[in-house]
Amino acid sequence: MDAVILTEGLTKRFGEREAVADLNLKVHAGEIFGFLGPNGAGKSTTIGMLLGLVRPTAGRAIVLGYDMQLQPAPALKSVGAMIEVPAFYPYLSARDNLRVLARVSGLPDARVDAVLKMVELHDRARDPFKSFSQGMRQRLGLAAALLHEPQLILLDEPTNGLDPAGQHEIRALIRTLAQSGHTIFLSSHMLSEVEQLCDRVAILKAGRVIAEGNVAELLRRGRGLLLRVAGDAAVALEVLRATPWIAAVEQQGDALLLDAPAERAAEISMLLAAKQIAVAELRTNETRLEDFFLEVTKS
Amino acid sequence: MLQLFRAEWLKLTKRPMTWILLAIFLALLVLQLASQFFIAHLASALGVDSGTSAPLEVQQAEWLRRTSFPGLFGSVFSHINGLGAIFAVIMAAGSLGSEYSWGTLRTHLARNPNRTSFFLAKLLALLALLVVGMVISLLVGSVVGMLLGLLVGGVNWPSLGDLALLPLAILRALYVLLPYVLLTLCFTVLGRSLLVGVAGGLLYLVADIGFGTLATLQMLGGLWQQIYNLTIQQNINTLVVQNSHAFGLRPELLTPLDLASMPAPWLAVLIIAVYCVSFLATAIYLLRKRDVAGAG
Repeated sequence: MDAVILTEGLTKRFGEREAVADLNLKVHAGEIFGFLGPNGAGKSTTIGMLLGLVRPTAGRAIVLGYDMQLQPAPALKSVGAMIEVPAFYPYLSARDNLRVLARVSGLPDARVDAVLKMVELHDRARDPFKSFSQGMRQRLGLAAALLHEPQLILLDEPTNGLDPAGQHEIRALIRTLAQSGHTIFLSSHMLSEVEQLCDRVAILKAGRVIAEGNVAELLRRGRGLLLRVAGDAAVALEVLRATPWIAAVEQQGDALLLDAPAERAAEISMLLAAKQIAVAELRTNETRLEDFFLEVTKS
Repeated sequence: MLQLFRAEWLKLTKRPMTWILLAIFLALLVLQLASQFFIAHLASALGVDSGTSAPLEVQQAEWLRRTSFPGLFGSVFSHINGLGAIFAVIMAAGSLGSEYSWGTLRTHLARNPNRTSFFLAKLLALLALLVVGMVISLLVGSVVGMLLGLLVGGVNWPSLGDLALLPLAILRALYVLLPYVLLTLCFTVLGRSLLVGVAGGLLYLVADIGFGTLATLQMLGGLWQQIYNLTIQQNINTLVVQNSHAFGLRPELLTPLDLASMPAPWLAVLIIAVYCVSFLATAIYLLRKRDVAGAG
């Protein structure tokens, strides 16, 4: 089974409002999949449907081969999740909170101490959850997600509230988990985090996927090439706009941004040379994921 | 299911609210027993009259029975099924309502999606805790009864026969609390909130017991009496009176109870069962049907 998560036309409406529309996702085993979108884009609703907490209006969510509407129980045995803000019983200690979850999952209490150590909370295991800082709460949330050694881990903003050192540790842990064969579905607002960690991403806006694919490929998309010419830029602009396989050309200062495949850079040089225009610089435009995200999600 | 029950038990027993409520309940029980004791011993001197048709000396004897064994047990059960219902409502709403407000319902169901099992485990843990509360109340009541007995020269110890009646009386008292617990859980699921649960449960209790809103129907007699006999309160009264009678008390001497108009015990059990099943089915239906996470 290659697809750990598969959604087919997944749709959720709340009254007139369509929170998620015709979502078709495929997350492969062993990959770190980034799930991005502005607030209210439908990320949490999607995660809710993947966990069987929210019933889809149409379509279906298949997790680890199980339809989450019909057979959520066997799937959830192998799914760990940290949804939005980590939710625990404030009066219970970290250990007791995990003991509750261990019992819910039918696990022995012994596993609790192992995960507390993994997220470095073993020293504070007896302290009540209500006394925890945001960072410690995130760690406990992660510990809860890892408690039953799941195959698939859904993480919603896992490094939220952590200091830089804490963020680094959690990211390292996520990488280690992925390397050991876990599949990670990571919803995050920290685009640099997604860029660092994820193999593929999907960007959601108003409940619809507006971009999806390999992170590196996505970043090459759009204004894929940056061009500076030694000659008349206006002539170059005219030539490039007349070229059918160049989707768009935009002047930005002394540079031209080209929406064209990077592998055809040589052809662009030749085109311009034929018009006596010297190329001063032609390279792949280094778009950050943040720039790409802002561009595709702007209204 | 046993693991789920253990999880719910851990949550309930480690929650400070549980023990604070029990402490308040026990303090009120002690206060009630003490006041009954003083009324019993000062009734004739003060001319206390509960307003029923029973002669004063009969009333006084009933007060005395309430503060010595085995009537003291009946008194404790009366406290459990009266004031205890309010505490049970708060406990039930707190137990389920907090799962919504803290977001822990999502955490639970994202691990174990069986919502019916979750609800039943919570209900069973609540009932088990109520039984523990009853046993502690009986022990505290007994200690108070012994101390009060010593004040008047000797303790009237309960017989083995009296003690043997306790398990059935506990079950009866639990059955009396069950519809209120289920109604509260039903309101909590409906409103997805602790506040709605407490408000719903207490509103019914207040309407039912406090103001006797439904009791006024029986004064009309005939069909109205029959309708009143289908209400929760009237059927609960039957079982509460049974518990009092089991320990030699006669509440009809101190309160305006018309025993003749009350439903038969078997009928009361049946009618309460219908209410319980209805509340249980509604709560589980709502819990299963509704989304747990909101839009994001």
